[in-house]
Amino acid sequence: MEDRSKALARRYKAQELIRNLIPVLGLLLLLLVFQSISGKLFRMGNIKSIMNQAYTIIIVALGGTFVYAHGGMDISYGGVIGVSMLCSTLVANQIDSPYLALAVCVAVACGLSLMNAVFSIYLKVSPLIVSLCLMYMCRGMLNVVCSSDKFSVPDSMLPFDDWAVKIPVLVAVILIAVFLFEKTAIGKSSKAIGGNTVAARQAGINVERTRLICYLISGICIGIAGFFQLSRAGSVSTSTGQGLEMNVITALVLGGISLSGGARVRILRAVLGAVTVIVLRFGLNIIRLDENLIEGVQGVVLLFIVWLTYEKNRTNLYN
Amino acid sequence: MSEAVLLSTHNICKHFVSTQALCDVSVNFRRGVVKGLVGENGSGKSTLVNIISGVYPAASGTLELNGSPYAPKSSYEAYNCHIGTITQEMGTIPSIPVADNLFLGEEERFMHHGVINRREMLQAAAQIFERFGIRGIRPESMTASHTLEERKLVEMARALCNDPDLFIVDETTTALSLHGRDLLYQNIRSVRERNGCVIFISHDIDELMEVCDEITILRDGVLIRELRKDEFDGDLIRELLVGRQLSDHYYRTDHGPTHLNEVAVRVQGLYTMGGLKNVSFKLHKGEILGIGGLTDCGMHELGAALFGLVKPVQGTVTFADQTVLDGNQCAIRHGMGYISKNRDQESIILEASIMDNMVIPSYRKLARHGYISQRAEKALANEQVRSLSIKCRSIKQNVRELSGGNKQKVAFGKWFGNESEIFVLDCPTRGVDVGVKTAMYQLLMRMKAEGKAVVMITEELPELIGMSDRIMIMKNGQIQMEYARSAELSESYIIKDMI
Repeated sequence: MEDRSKALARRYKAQELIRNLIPVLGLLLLLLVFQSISGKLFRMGNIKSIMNQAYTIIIVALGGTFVYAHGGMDISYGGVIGVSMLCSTLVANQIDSPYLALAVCVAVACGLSLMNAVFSIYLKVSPLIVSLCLMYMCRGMLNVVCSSDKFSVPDSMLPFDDWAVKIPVLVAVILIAVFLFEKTAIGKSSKAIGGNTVAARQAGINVERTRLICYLISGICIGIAGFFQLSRAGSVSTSTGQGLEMNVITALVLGGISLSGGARVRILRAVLGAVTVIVLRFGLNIIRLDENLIEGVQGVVLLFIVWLTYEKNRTNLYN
Repeated sequence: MSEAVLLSTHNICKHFVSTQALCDVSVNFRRGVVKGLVGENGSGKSTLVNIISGVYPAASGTLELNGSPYAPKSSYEAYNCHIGTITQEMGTIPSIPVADNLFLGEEERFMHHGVINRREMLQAAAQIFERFGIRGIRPESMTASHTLEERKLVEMARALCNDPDLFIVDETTTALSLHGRDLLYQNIRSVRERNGCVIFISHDIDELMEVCDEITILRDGVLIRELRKDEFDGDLIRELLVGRQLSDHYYRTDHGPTHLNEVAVRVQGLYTMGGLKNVSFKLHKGEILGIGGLTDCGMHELGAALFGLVKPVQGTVTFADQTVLDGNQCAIRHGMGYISKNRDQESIILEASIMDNMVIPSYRKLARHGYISQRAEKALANEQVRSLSIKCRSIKQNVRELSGGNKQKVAFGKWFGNESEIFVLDCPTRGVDVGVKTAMYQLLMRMKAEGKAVVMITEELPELIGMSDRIMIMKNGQIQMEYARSAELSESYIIKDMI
């Protein structure tokens, strides 16, 4: 018994180490490989490109961490960000105020996130299915409204695509997210729910309210990300936001965040993961890999990392 | 009738994650005999039957069927060895027709050139129902549309239709009406008459004595005694069943009930959906109120209701400040703590650190304008680890790695950390060894001395008698009897009220 528990402790330590090291080593490895093959990864233009692409994913993944930590699932990010951006654009074209556009973008994203929350928390539909439905609904909306023409934003919004604005915003979002997640009851409750919902409830956590707030935080993040993507892209079309959900999930996984949630979720990993996924995609691009192959490679890498870092379900009833 | 051994088990052992379910069990099941298996919940009778019927293998030990080794890999293999089982849980699949349940895995019998002849199958099913005297079930009807009793009868027909040598009936009669029972008894007799063997599991001792030729008593996974028909005696069986060796040195040494005058919780006329009926009592500060009974007597439900996890249909739980309990967050705000009997599933988060587990109820207390500093968390956890002497490498260690007793201490520490004054402990010593039990009892005494109010729900009578100031015995959701602490109280005295 004593030996077994010691062996167990060793195994846990090793697993913990792997889980901690792999995301960092993975990113370094990717940077090294792409730099040595292409020789131009670290040029200013490329770094800016990576930053720009990672920007949206970092912010959305930060919010998503709250949802995934409590055992939720959300694959509607692409659709939700698309519709939020669309609404924001439509309003901005009537009343030319970037701040109003930001408010609309955040409000719509929150509303859609709340829909996710209400259906999965109170009506007890599987979160995955709810967000799948929401994704299709949002895509459908975009397809209908943007089918004939794409909508451009007024010029007043374009100056927001400036690092002097974007960097402080990003830093603020990261700091607030880290504070909420690691240092307040909301983040800690979320992790506890992901670890064991029954135990969390019995220890006095209001499970429903906590989950609702987590979805709200996620919505706010999507809204902020949407606004800056809008200021950069300048327009909304049917393809806006497409693939975001998969990039966010890949980011969480590459960052080493367990998709089933729990106490070991560390929110900063989401930032690491988001940068990694973009470096991977961008890197494959500049080593001139066929565009069509990139998604395939992303799938293979995702599977490999999941296999490597996830706790394998070895415990069963009959051991 | 021959007395030949049909099936024998030799030194069967089986343990689940943390509990020993069976320990060196050797039994002979002879032809022409109805053998009763009896024991409390968790005594291992279902585990034994599950091993025989191939649900899972034994950890060690062997089985012999008709003199040759027998190790079924699945319940279907057991079925083909002419072992028919009616399970304790639902053994039928609700979403398919009755006939399909009856012939599950046997569909090939009706297959012609790869196509199943449905009409033939339905006819065969109808014949089987007629043969076993089952009326009113149409073979093509959906299983879910039938009552629990009818589904149990379908299961019986399935178990019997390939003429089993061994017929296993695991706690089935509670689901059956008088008519259904008669049918079952008839079929049990007919299996015996054609020289088969029946294993019959029931909690009803009178029924067991009526139906069985022999009774085997299991307790904590150990075979306690085998009784022949002429040795049957209800009181003896009850005592063998529940009675544990009273090793009283680690219990309280005082023999009088003591408590403070202040009432901590008042329960009035509590009814719940789960079966509580008109439960009323007062819990005082500095009092250990023991609640005992058989597992399904409603005591666990009472624990959950006291903590606000179960909403009462009628009746109230009132705290000292006259607030009426409404949900478990209300209970926690009023200084209540609860430890579930399913500790690993409900009371702790296995994949979280000791610290993470301990601070959960105290977020509100630790937060300064919403900010919970790690220093405050560490202070709380370290304090509890020290005062409960939890054995661990550090407070950051995963709770999963701890032993059962230390896990339990973490669950306690969570509530001590929140300065709880009222404790509802559901089987606080379940699955812990004697050493940890001693520590738990010392802890209980410490809590009592500090004026905390404790409700201790337990299935163990020695513990109940040894620790409580007051004992309430429950039966069928009601309080059957109440005893004050006294030196004269004995187990056999209390058992009468339980069964």
